[in-house]
Amino acid sequence: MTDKATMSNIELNNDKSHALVSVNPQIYDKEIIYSAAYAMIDRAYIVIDGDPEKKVLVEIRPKDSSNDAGQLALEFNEELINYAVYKSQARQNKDLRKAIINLAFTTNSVPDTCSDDNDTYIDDPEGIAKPWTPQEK
Amino acid sequence: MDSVQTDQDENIVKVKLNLDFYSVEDVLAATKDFFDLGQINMAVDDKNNNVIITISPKDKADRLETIGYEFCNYVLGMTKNR
Repeated sequence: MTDKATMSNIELNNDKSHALVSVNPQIYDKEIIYSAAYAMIDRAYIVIDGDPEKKVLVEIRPKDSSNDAGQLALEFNEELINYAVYKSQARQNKDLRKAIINLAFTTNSVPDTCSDDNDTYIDDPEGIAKPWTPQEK
Repeated sequence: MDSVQTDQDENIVKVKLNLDFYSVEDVLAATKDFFDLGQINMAVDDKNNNVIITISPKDKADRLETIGYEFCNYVLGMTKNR
């Protein structure tokens, strides 16, 4: 069993003003990292650095003291998983989504009103086609 | 990581961004949007694959570090929404 300390990818600096999260790019690609980081920019300042092939470093710095850097780093990890699952599901459902959209476009064809011989569009059985504004004298 | 460095005496904040994660186009666009803040200079460090943005705000009272990190977030937003 792996030790909990060695599993952690979060490094807190001494004054706990910011956290450094190491991300494995083999597991989470750049798009996922951007999405997870973007989800947190209202609460923290985020800077992405490192090697895109080996190890990506994400610096998380809370905007105000009410947020804890360690807590935000944990939330960032959750967001990574969240977006990774979303992307994986989107990939799996890609063909089905395409089929549904195709079906929607092919079945919702607009009726050709121009070829209608009845010309019913000028009928006004309710008498509502009259202008409502008072006529000028 | 030291991505944001400030010099209170010179009233300057330097932001270093890795070009593997942030494109020059996005940084340029963000720089343009920060023009109102003061003087901004951008330099590409090819050797280290970084772009260095130097911001010198008009107002001395502004918190330099906050400006630097707000710039980082702004570029991230542009990168994400590209």
